[in-house]
Amino acid sequence: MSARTSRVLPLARKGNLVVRELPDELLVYDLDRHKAHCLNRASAIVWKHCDGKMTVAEAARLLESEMATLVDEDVVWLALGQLRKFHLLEEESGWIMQRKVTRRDLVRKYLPAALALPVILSIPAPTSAQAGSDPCTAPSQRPNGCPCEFSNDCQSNCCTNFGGGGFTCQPGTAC
Amino acid sequence: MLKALAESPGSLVASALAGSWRRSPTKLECTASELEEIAPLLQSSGAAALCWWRIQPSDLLRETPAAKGFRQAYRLNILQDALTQQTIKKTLALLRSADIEPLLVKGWAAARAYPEQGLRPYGDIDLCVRAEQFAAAENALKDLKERFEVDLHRGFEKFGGGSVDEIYARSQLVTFGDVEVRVPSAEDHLRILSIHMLREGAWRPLWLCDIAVAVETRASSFDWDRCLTADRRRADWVICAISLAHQLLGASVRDTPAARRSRPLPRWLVPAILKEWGSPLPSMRQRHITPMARILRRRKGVLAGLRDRWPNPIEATVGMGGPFNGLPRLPFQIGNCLARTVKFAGRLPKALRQG
Repeated sequence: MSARTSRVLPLARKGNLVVRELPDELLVYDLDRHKAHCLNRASAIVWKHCDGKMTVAEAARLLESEMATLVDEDVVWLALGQLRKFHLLEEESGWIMQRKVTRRDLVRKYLPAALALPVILSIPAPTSAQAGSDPCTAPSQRPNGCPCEFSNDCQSNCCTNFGGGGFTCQPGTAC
Repeated sequence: MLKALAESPGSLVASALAGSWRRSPTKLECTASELEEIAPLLQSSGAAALCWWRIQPSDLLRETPAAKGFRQAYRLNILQDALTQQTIKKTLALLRSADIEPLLVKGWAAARAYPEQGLRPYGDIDLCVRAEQFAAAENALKDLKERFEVDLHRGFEKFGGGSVDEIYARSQLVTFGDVEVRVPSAEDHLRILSIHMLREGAWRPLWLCDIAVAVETRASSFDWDRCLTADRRRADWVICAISLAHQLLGASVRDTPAARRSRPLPRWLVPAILKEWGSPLPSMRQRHITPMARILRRRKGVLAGLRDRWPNPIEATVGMGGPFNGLPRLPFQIGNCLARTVKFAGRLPKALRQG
């Protein structure tokens, strides 16, 4: 595939993502990597318009009107850099990142309006108890790695002292 | 309440969660250091997002590291909700293809009463099926990749019993995303939530919040006779659970049987709960994670393991079918311990054979 002009926004990744919109941020769960991300408003606006058609300049103007503050193209490049880092852009589209902008480059320039800068936060995975329950405490069908007492506690039907580290559920081949 | 108890971490947890389930909760009055102290307890018990809901209006507290962690929990709950929805959809499709209609209890069924998605996390999916359909239900789900997320229950015995036919007849279909889910009636569900919390020794504060929100959001047509059933002892357990929601979390219990209960709550009850809430790793949770057979096999930590198996007064009372009164709990605790030991001994040979 030939490289597409980098003045046009790339395509946003759509597959295997769970997306939930909140009033001032967008939450994305990557089902391939099992990572959760939180996009602030600026990043979310850029991501939503990554359609392979809108130009970087147009995106900057859009951000400017949505955020009610002066924005130049570097802000869009910063957002694109982060979206790419977090695997939220189509990786097969052949799009090339023409400009690399760091947050540090822009902080001073946008200090009075620092909130306008795109930010993507990674949300740490929950501990099992935070998630509301613990798969390792299920009466049966515990995943591999969970402590176990009986073979039928485990999804794999294999509860063994594998490697001497105590009895845990292991893949069936370990029994 | 004794002074030491009022200043305990468990008591701080109770203060942080008081009224947190309401659409407009009152602003949390506590210091940043108190918040930091209880943050791990709230995070590990799944109540962090509810605390975030309470501290949102507070400029001082919302910028603390603890508050930022609570907000992350809230975000994560929202995503978890979307993921669990997919699993519920798959699970129900499999069960329904085997002509089994399960009832979803606790978890999402409780979370839907909160004012916002994301306030109440739920990881596993608790489904009750008729006892005669239990084996078929297990079979229908045997190839489900997310099977460990599904907790299948045989009827409702462990949740306070009652006629299965009547519970089904009163149940309702509600929409969850693009799937229809059958949940118990509000009356049956409040009983289920209460008995479950007490059976588990009330170690999670979130369970008492579930009861509080269920009581406060009940419809005017809520039928207390249906909720409390004919079994007077179980009815009193439910009433005690509601009274606890009032006493510890400030739930409004006006026009409920809890407001009319003539006897005060037994003196041992609240301290027992606050002790669990203030514990970084409550013994019930530790018990599930490290089974006794495993401890015996490795012959390490036996004393600690035995200590974790000592039931708290609430779990012991419910486990022995006892009344919530002012008499000492030791006989119930000993009885419960013996009953569980006998049950465990019956399973031990099999465990050793498998080991």
